[in-house]
Amino acid sequence: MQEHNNHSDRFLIKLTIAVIMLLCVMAVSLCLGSSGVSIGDVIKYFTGRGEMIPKTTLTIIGRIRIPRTLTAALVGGALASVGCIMQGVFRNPMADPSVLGISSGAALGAAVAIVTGLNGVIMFGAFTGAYIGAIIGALVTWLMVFTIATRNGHYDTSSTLLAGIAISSIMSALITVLMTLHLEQMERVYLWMLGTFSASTAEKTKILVIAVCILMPVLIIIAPRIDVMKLGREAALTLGVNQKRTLAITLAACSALLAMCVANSGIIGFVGLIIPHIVSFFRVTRMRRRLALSFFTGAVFMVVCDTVCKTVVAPGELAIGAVTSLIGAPYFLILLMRSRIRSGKEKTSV
Amino acid sequence: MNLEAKNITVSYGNSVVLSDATHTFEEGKISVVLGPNGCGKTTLIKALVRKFANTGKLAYIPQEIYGDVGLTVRETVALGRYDKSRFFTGETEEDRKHIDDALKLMELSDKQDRIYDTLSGGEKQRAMAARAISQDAEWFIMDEPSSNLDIVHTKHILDTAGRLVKEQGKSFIIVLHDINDAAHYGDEFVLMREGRIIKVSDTLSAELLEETYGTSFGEVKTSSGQTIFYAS
Amino acid sequence: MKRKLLALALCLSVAAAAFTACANSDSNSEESGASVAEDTFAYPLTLTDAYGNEVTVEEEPETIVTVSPALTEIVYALGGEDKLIGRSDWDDYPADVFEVQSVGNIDMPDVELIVSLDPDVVLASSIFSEEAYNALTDAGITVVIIKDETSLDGVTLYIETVADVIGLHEEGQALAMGVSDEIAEIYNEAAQTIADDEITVYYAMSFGEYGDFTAGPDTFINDIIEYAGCVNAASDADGWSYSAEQLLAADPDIIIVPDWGYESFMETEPYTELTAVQNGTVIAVDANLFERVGPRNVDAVRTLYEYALDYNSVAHAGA
Repeated sequence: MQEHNNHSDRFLIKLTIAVIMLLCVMAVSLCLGSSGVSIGDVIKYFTGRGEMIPKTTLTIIGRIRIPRTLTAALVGGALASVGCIMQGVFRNPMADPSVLGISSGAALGAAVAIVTGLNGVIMFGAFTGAYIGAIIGALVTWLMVFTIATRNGHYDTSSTLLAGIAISSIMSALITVLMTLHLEQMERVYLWMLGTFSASTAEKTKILVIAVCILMPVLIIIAPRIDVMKLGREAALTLGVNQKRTLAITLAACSALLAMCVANSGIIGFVGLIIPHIVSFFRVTRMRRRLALSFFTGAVFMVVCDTVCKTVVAPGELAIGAVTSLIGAPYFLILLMRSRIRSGKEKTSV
Repeated sequence: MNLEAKNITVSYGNSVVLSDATHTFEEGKISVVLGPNGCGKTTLIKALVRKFANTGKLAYIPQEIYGDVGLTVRETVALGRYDKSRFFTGETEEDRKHIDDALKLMELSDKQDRIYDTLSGGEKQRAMAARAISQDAEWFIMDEPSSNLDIVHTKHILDTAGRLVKEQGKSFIIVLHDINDAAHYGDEFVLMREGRIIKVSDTLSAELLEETYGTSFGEVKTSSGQTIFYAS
Repeated sequence: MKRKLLALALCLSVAAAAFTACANSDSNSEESGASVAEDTFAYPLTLTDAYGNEVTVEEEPETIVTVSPALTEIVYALGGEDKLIGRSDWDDYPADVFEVQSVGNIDMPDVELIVSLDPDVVLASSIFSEEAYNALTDAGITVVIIKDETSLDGVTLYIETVADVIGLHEEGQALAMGVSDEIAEIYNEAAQTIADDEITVYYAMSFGEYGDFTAGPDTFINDIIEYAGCVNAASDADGWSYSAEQLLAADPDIIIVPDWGYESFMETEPYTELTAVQNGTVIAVDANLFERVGPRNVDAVRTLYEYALDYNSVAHAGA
């Protein structure tokens, strides 16, 4: 008995550390940038002494830095969470958000908007055509994957996986074709897809916050069912878990999250794949706990990477996708090596 | 509660895998389903599970599960308590008791903090059995629960089944591949061949086995009165 | 239910495809660049930018940021460099520009830095990303996107628009007129001297492993060639794309190659088969004179004309 209380306590400690780390890195990120806004100004901003700061600084902190840091945190958390879910649902440690095909579909939607010149049409005064295109693209793709995966009335993981991977390939191919047919726009499409947080605005961030606040709780609530599904469809049924319904809700929520991520910051790889593994290294097993810890760990990671992106070569920017791999992969390898040493890989001596 | 199978037919594409299976499985005993490979045993019991799963009184152990589980043994066994829990309650005292008892019964208490996937095949089967036990259900439906178990653990798990029937009035439907295990522990035998239930009987005989498996069998009586069957 | 979902997905895809098709036919009928009030010039100035948005510049800007080499050059040519507080990383002419703070890339500059400089107006080119535009306007900065020009005549409008936006209307008119007068002069002279000989010229914007790109018939580099009294060898080009095959078939009299590529062009197959390469009638030029819209295009026209004149006299002497 005592031991299992300890498990819960240990998890809460890990979660608390993650949350505190997130607040810290966000604070640091808010104080860094290519303009000369000082830490003192940032503190004044948050302690309600806004009148004492020059107007430009107010704008920079409120409409540029806060949206950017917040977006990075939310996208990082969302991507890591979706990756965690993917690995649990498909029971495969190599799964990541891209296996659903939604990210590629969203990118295609954005590409179509850019190439047809619709990107300039800024809707509701805040969203570019590419943003709307990404969301529509994600929706269309989800409809396709869902339809294909549920023919025969079964909705199971292997048909979903195959449908997702196949459609992902088609979408990526279409993007390439689109780019070669419109060579003048190729660079713009490519740069859009590469991913960046520098286009964050207050309006887009507000929508993102709302989306995450709705979708993450859905995933948290449904998470334990994913563990039960590991027992197989029939056994799960005896425990009151309907595989079809659970999959439908889970994948719909994940798709919506991915649509928001791609619309806000393009395609960023690696995070969805690796963060859940890092969480495994911290010995967190149950899906609900993995999800919560993945979210905050992913958020911390992304904010750190974005801070690097915006400061190291200012006023230029590094590509976020490259930085996540360059920082994440070595850290992951270190964890991997340490865990092998600890688990004492058996040695056969000849 | 009896489990009634009535004219169940299952087909995959054009091939009929189970045709017109009809039988009432009575509570309070161990019913063993026997038959050669591919005769529809798994299909029959899966159909039963699907039909009666939402009564909440069924515990099912499939032949195998696919993919990584990633949970500790205890957490895997604890999955059996899922439908008893609600979002904020977490593990109750009662849950804990059932889980601890199930682990003890399946002799996994000392391994409960290991990750399920690191267990041997036999240990995994015992973990799945523990999970079913923790569900505290009326019915146990098990598909070859001892295929990876050694002779000692096989005896143990089937003895446990017998005890649960006698002491707690539980009911079992078990698919077994070992005819003698079946003969020793079964109260009723459902014999299948080529997608059909061909015979239901309270006792096994060499003739029944020949009819089921399509090959000749012999019997030997031991000094303690037990009958051993062998394929001849 | 599933059929309906599939049908919905197909409908959305068809709609998207239809958009693409429509947009393709639209892109050929371009609007001319920003439209400005005719003779009476005053603030507030309202114009339609390259995105089709209406932008208003309230009063004469004291401080400006230009995010494009072409726009920067024009600002200097107009004498407006005192107002310049920010420029793109790619700006390189005139050399004074390096003293000015850089704000990053042409398509996606550093938004925070620009906001901290607090310019009255930001001038950018068509290549400016919508996301950056969105972020800057969201932060309250006025951004004017000046549409790229596809004809040499349009260059004057380009110059005038920039001038008007930054409050140097008279200088703009003067510079524009000067540019068009000079070009007209060269053109008239060329009409007398070399036009009848129909000298074919090819502009090798890119070649070899980077793909063959040249100035097709509706580009302003094409106009440069024609105003210099020559004929564009790549008159069958589609936009900027060409192929080595077509080039060999056209076998132009003169070839213009940017500085950086001159040596490799002269040595790369199959360009070595070209008459111009073998005879040495290939000019190495500063690509910016030809490819960057602005007052220096006049130099491009003159350089080509003088070379063609030379070529002509040699050709006639040899005949």
